[in-house]
Amino acid sequence: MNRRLRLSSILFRLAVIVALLPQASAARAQLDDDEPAAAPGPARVIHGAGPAAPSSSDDADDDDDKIKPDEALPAPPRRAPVARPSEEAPAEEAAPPAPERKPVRSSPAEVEEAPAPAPAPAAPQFVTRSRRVKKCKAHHKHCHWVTIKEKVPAGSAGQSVSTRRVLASPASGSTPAGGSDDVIPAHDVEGSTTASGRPADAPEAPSSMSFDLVQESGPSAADAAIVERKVKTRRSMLEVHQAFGIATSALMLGTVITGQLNYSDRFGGGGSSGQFEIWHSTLEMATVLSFATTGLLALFAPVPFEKKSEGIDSVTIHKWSMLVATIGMASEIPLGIYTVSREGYVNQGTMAITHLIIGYITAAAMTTGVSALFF
Amino acid sequence: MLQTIALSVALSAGTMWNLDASKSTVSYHLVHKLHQFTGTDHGHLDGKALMKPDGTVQAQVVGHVKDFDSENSNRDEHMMETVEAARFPNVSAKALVHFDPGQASGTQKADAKVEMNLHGKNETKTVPVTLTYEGANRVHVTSDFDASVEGFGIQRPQLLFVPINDAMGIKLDLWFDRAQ
Repeated sequence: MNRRLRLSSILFRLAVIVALLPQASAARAQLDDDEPAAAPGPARVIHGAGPAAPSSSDDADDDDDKIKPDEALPAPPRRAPVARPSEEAPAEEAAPPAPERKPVRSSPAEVEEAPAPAPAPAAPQFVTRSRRVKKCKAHHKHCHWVTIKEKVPAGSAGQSVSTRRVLASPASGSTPAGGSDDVIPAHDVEGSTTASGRPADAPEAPSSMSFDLVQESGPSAADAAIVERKVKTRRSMLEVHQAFGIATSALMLGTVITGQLNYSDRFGGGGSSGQFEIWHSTLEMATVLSFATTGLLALFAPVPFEKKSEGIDSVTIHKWSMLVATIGMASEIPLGIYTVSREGYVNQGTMAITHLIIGYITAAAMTTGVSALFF
Repeated sequence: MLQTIALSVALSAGTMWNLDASKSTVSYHLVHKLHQFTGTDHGHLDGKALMKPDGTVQAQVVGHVKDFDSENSNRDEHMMETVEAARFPNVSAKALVHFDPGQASGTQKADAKVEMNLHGKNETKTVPVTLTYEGANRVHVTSDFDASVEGFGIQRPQLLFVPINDAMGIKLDLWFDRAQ
């Protein structure tokens, strides 16, 4: 039973393949015909095209759906045509082996004819040249500039891009409808410049900036991407650090004010009502939490660039001040708790004044650290 | 033979001058509501100038963004982040200026066409340049002009959420020695 089933399954698959083969070959032939003729023109006509999808039962009903000879096809998904060597200008054919370059798709009708180059040397040398071009998708709705590098023969380094590249005219409408690797319209090749930035059609004027006396070097794209990621993370962390720093300063001010009021109330003849104690405790807790968050954000921020250490600058003062503030805060917490626990003892007043003085030192250190950034 | 040909070609093309990196500086000056600061590149610049027989001078100076020092390491670091030093590590300027070829001493003033490249963007300006001959083989070139930070596509950095002013003062103090 199983063998029967398998046999019938295999037969069914064979039948499907046999049915689809003519279609596939017809489609392939059509694609081959399409390639050189992407330029807009009259609607394409297929003579004696391959059979439409065979359907045994729907033949009679589907006559209207079939592709008839001499009937225009609906526009197929447009492929950007590839310029073939045989379609390029004869002068280009005679040129030395083409250097490696970014392929640009275009219809043969849009190929600009290149002037005949000088006789090729036996071993042509190439130079790498960078150029910025605009890449567009979906009818220029989404365009972005990219830098491409291409090798060009050394002798033609100053030659116009537009005479050496196959360009697509925007007027020709050869820009694909929504392709991902698109034609670069001629007007979008940044000014159609020469290798050194001179407009292609302009004669070399003495005012031209097209000279390079000094070699510039840069990092690899991979290294740049890694550093850039770190930079973004660091920037976000330091922005939050800044916000928390401002909040901490405000909270610190509140803590000091309520601390002073509390001391005056308890030990300065204020009646010892204890009305400021809850405010002072709450603000102190918030200050410590905010301060710790601020510090940790700065400590754990990635360092994308090598640190230069050239003596004392405002950041050095900021960091040292914050270290003093951290020590002050760390000592204030146990000292405050201990002071409260000495209720009724003789030394509570001494503990309280010590707590108050350290509090002021901590606040002063923080103020110094924040102010240092303004200079 | 080849050397002779190369030399004669070079001489007909003009005189080459090399930047004295140890003495030359380029600095920027920025202003914030709370303070202002100057970042300077001392001794890390590279540059050349070509003086043509007709008095036209082509000059190019290249520096690294990381070499600018504003006497605040955090600020310099922030500046590198702001100008995306990872992607655009260099700052460069090309200048084209015409001086009187007959006058090889004293001071000359001229307007130079300067093309600055920062943050991967070019800005071209016409700026006043002063050239002073310090002997036959040494010249001192100075220039002082303003540029727009946002003109280079740079988002202005902020301190306490207040951005710096857009105008950036640029000061060039360059020394060139005639190439031997």
